[in-house]
Amino acid sequence: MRVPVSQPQADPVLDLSVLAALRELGGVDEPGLVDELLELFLQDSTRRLANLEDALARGDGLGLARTAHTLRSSSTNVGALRVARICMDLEACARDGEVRDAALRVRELARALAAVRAAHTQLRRAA
Amino acid sequence: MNGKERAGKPIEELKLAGNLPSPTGVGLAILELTRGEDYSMGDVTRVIQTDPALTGRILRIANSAVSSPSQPITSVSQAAMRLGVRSVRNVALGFSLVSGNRSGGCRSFDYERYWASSLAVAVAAQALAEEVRGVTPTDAFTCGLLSDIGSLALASIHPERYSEVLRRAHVGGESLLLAERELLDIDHVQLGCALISEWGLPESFAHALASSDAREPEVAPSPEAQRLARLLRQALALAPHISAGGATGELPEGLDLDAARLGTVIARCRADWLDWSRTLQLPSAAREPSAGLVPTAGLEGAPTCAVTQARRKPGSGLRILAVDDDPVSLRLIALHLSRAGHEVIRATTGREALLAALEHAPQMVITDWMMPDMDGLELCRTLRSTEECRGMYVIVLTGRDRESRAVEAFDAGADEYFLKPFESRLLLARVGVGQRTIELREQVESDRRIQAQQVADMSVLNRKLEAAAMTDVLTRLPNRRFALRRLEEDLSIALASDTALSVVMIDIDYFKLVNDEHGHGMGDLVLRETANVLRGIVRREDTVCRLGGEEFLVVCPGANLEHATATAERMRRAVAHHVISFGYGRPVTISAGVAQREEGADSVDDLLRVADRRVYLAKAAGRDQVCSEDPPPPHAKSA
Repeated sequence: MRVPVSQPQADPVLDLSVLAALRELGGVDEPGLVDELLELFLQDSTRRLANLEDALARGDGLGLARTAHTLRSSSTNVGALRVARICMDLEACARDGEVRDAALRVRELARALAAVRAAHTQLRRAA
Repeated sequence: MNGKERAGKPIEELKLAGNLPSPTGVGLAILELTRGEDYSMGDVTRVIQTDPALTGRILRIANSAVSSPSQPITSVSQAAMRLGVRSVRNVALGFSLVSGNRSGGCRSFDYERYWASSLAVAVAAQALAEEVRGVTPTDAFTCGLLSDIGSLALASIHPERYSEVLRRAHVGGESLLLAERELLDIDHVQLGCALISEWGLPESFAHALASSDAREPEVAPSPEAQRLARLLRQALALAPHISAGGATGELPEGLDLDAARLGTVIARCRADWLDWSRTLQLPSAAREPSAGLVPTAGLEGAPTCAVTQARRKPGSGLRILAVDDDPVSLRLIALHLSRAGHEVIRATTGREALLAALEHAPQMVITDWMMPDMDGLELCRTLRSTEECRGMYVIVLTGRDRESRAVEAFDAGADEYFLKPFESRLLLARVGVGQRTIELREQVESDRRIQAQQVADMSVLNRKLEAAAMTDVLTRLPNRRFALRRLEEDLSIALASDTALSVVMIDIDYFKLVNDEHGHGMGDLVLRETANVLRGIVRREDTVCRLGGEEFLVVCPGANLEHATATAERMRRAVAHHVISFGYGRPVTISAGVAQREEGADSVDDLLRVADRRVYLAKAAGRDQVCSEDPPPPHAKSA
């Protein structure tokens, strides 16, 4: 069965309300928390994207699903909702063995992550 | 032999207290399993394998004992084949004692330092065994590791009293052994020997412990025991140089090792010791090697490493290990927990978490389920099967998609599971529930300790009461009743085993004059001081008793006439040189008569009569001397 194609473009690259909540969590003690978390996320996701590409090349559906799952959770935490949505779709494709769709999703994911990086840079400049 | 005989009674009472440092878990299983003689290699290895940390340590020592590193030992059964199943069993026991007794209630007793120095002795003993041969290196290691186990035992059984003992010894300058005997009626060497026998470890270990601080070696039950005893004494001398990086001044002399090798051996031991300290998470490795004398170049390169010392934070927070392969999630969990006052240690893989758990001994572990390599459930299972980590409170975090499989987490040994993504207040509430459980467990444990303490105090009282009936009030030496009983026991052992036994009868010279000229107060003082001097001179297995008046008896099992005469001569000199003098500056002196068990003189009465006769001969010959033979026959005298 084909997975219904979602509209990742509809989700924000970075959800400002999540970032605001995190900023509040950091409070006066840790004013750099949001920046730190985004930095952690980008480092980690770069590594995981490489893992996804490897898994795709090997046709390792389980590996794809697992990595997508973890990435979904961390992207949700930092408000990278578009990435989170793509990961959810990717996990579903991978579990169903839809390799072609999975490849598409991985490319989409790379673009979405680049967008997060750009947004992060912009946020930094604005600060 | 003697350690077992003499401390046999106290051990029974101490066991009631339930507070002895004892092997727990795997160690206990090994002990039970190997009580008899007919255990197999398979039995032992199977039990050891259930504890990953212990397995790792056994493999380490097995590999360090092998000369060809090209074929490393990778399983417990290989180790058992290489080292012998008995050696492996002993090492396992030794370590299960280390891990179970890392802290305790005696405030003045430095537990971490204790293990660090025992480890230094172990490493030194192993290295020496490799150099001199004749002793199995692995046995030497275990014996060294347990060389001071009696101190740990006393600190565990009597935390309060032992603090006082240590205060007297360190601040008051009293002899540690005497302070122990005075306050607790048993000293750490006696207890150590008794424990070794109790745990079924080789008798040669007990013998080595007993002769470790003796002025002269005890009579060894076997040549192996004698070699081990000699080796342990040297290891004890070497150990401070290892833990201090060779910087404690003069190197010991009289080692079975030429001076050229010594530097290399110390350097290698130090590297080994730092390595072990790291493996066992002892703080020793973090201590800077002090600057100063560095005898060889090898030492300068000795590795130092920083091990974060496990600290128990005062106040309300827990020490929590948080594990997640997602750094963002880990950072957030840590943030929430530390905001709530907890101390957080972080790990991003299961393996890292395992090491951190061993190193920091957290009270609680919060781990993600899905992780590559070792997942949360596997981590949980491993923690549960590791001695040190068994009691930790484990919370497994899991995504909603796995909610239906939560039961697997509990099967793996988790105390609680929690859904991700988490709502921080809920997570903290769950942690709070866990904290109450942990505190309850700790409370139960501390109640148990208090109860055990009361039992232990009772047993001290009992020992004191019994000892009182056998002790001379003035000198605190065993009294006549005890002396005769001891002599009878030792004599029957000597007769049965056809070993030597001697007695030394001692009489203070001109004692009546002291009393007459200086009063009874002075007389009492002289008796007490003389008793103290005698007590300090004899070998461990000798017994000094006050027979009555100014008369003392020393029972020396295993000693022939020559040995006992040497002891008597040492006592005579020591008393004469002791500062106590009276009247016109004349020192207190003693006359002594020595007799040994021999044909025609093999009853208590015979021995006492011969010794007594020789005391009079010594007196007649001018006092302040030792007599060990009867006068030549009359015809020789007249010649």
